[in-house]
Amino acid sequence: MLIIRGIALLLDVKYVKNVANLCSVWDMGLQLFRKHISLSPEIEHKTVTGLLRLIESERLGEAIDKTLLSHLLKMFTDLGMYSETFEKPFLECTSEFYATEGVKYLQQSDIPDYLRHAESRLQEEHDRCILYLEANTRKPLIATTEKQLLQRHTSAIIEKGFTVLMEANRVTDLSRMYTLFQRVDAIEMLKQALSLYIRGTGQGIIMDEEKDKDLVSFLLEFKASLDKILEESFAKNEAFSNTIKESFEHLINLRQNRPAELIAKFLDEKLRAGNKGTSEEELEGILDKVLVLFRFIQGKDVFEAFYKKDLAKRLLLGKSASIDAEKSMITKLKTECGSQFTNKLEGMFKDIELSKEINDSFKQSSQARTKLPTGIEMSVHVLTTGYWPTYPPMDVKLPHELNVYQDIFKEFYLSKYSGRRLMWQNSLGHCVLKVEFPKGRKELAVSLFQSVVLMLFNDAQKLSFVDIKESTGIEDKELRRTLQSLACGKVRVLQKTPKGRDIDDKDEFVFNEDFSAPLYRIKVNAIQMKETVEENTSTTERVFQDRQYQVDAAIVRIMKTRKTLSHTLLITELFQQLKFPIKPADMKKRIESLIDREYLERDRSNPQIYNYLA
Amino acid sequence: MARPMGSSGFEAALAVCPAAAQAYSKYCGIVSGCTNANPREGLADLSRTIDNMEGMRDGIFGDIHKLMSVLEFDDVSQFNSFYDFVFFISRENGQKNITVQKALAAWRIVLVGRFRLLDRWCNFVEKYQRHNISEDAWQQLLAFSRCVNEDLEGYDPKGAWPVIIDDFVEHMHRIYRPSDCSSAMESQCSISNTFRGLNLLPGSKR
Repeated sequence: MLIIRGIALLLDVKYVKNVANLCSVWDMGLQLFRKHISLSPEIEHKTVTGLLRLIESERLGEAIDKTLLSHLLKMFTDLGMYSETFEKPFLECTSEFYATEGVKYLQQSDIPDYLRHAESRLQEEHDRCILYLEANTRKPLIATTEKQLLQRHTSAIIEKGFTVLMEANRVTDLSRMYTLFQRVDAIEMLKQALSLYIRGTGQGIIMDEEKDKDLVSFLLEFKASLDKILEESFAKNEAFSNTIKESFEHLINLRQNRPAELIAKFLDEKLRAGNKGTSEEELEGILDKVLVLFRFIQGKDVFEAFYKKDLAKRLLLGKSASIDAEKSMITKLKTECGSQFTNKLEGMFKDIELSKEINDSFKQSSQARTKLPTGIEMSVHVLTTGYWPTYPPMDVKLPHELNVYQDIFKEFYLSKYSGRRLMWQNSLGHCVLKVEFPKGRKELAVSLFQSVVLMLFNDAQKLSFVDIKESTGIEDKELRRTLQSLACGKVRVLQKTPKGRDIDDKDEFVFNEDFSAPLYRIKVNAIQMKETVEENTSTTERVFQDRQYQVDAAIVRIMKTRKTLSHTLLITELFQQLKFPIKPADMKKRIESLIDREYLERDRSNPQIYNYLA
Repeated sequence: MARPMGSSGFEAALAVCPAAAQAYSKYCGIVSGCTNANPREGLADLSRTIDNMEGMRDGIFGDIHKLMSVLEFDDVSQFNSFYDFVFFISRENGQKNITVQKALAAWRIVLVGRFRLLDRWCNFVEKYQRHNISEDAWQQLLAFSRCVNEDLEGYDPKGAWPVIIDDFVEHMHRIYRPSDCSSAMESQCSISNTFRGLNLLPGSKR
């Protein structure tokens, strides 16, 4: 045709251009060619099927003559027959091909393979467009492929593969899934699957009481792995990050109160002295991570109660790993929950610092220098009642020297701060005793109760349980615990007859003459750090008691301003005001109690409405 | 003196159980505000007067069903005050609330024929309630008996019902309707139909 055009060029230029309704020689050639092809549909059909078969065999992995394909398609384009004659059957054929392939592949291969396959298929189709297809075929072609390979199978892919991938932490595969799902608009589905996965996986562990011990570390790990996946696989998608937060919050609060308690205890373990191998920075990191969990907790008051209890013990028994770390934790809590949450905790630190000063000035005071019994040294923590946890008063008959000491200190303190009342918390005291064992001299770090018991043996060889109880005046259960720690633990300063793990009324105790230990200074007062069952229940109970008062106060506050309010509105306002999780039934009980105490009454005409009684 | 009850009823009541009728009449007088005294103090006085005579309170309590059988309640509010009067009489030694035992006995007299779930209610309270019954719970039960059907239709779990009533409803659902909702709906209809013919007592809303 080129030649013909070359020959007839003059004709073209001189004649055709100037006459309307006449095509150039070239165009006329094309027209004639098209006419002949359309006259014999057989040829047209053969060409098209031939083309399709070629493409299909390429898809199946065979090498084909791409130049031929390219030329033929170019011809179709030139003849204006591309979209009608070729593109339509081509897309149909593609759809059919991938439909069968998708089903087949999904059955025989696992999800990561399938996704990888889909990805490479999409790439191939893309290349095909560049190599020999018309550019505007690309969109419908890719869409068809996506539809057949992905869209139709999204739920199956998620169902079959999502959990497996998450569990195995397959970051790249998940990332592939994310990109592919994004193409077919199935991100919402992926998000739901993620939420379900988080809730499902965590539930078993949260609810299983036997796994309480590892709960916090599990949650930390889980959160870390989720964060990693979010960052590396889900492109830090905001919606996904929110989903993770929501699901996590749901997860942690599945069980009330206990997770908060466990988080507090986990922190206690980390902040307690004797954590070898953790540097300051590592500790900081852990604190930050735990704080993330803390954020999800709804019942923060439970956390506060337990944290406070443990903090008190760390401070008073000198077991804190680092005051800097303690303070940094308090600062973190403060930024998280406001100063109201932490002012009691800060007060505790203040007390400790003040106590140091008081002790120093006490030692230099005239009272101390003139009247104090010699041979003992004492330091006193003066605690402000409201800041610290409440401790049940425990009576004990102290040795004479200690009593004198206490009285002198009291005199000194009250002369400085008149009008205050001092109460001794014997259960929190701890001492260092110097003991002459036949096999060597030792220093024992013991609790005050332990030392009171031990000092009895200064004057006696053998004492029965009843004797000890009488002369110390320690409460029965506490005394049993104390004796157990002295005679049945790792460090046996006393010997008990008959032997056994439990303390019986008839048991007798003698000083252990054969005591020996490699170290000079020995700690026996671990029982003081340990949380007793009673402590635990009383802490929890106090939280619940506090909550009741808070509910009552909130109801009265609301009703005082509103005077009259319907039940539903009152409950809604309460939910807004109260910061801990509470069941509607519990609120109702408080409302009833307030009705009973005549703070409120039901409206005479409508029992759904309450009136405030001034 | 105010005549809060149907006049014929009152004459008969005076004849059958004079003490109870008198007490009730005084009670109504105080509550309706016809006497000048503050109702709260008036009631406290009346309570003291009754307690001053030994055995009087128990005597009146024993006569409640007699009193009820002769009195005629023309409308809801009349029965309301009678129902509250029963609570008033059931209180012992100036206590605010009444014991579960007393409440059960009183309910069995006063709500018979007026509360279709009475037996189930009493069984439930007997089995699970350990605290005393407060005046609020007492009064709300009457309201509950009026607005709730045999099948608990009309009960709104988000309403202001006392917890004891919420617990009762939950208990009923657990025991009598463990199956799925559709069949429950059917049975609801059939029960309502069965009972449509029930002759309603005066003072009952439906």
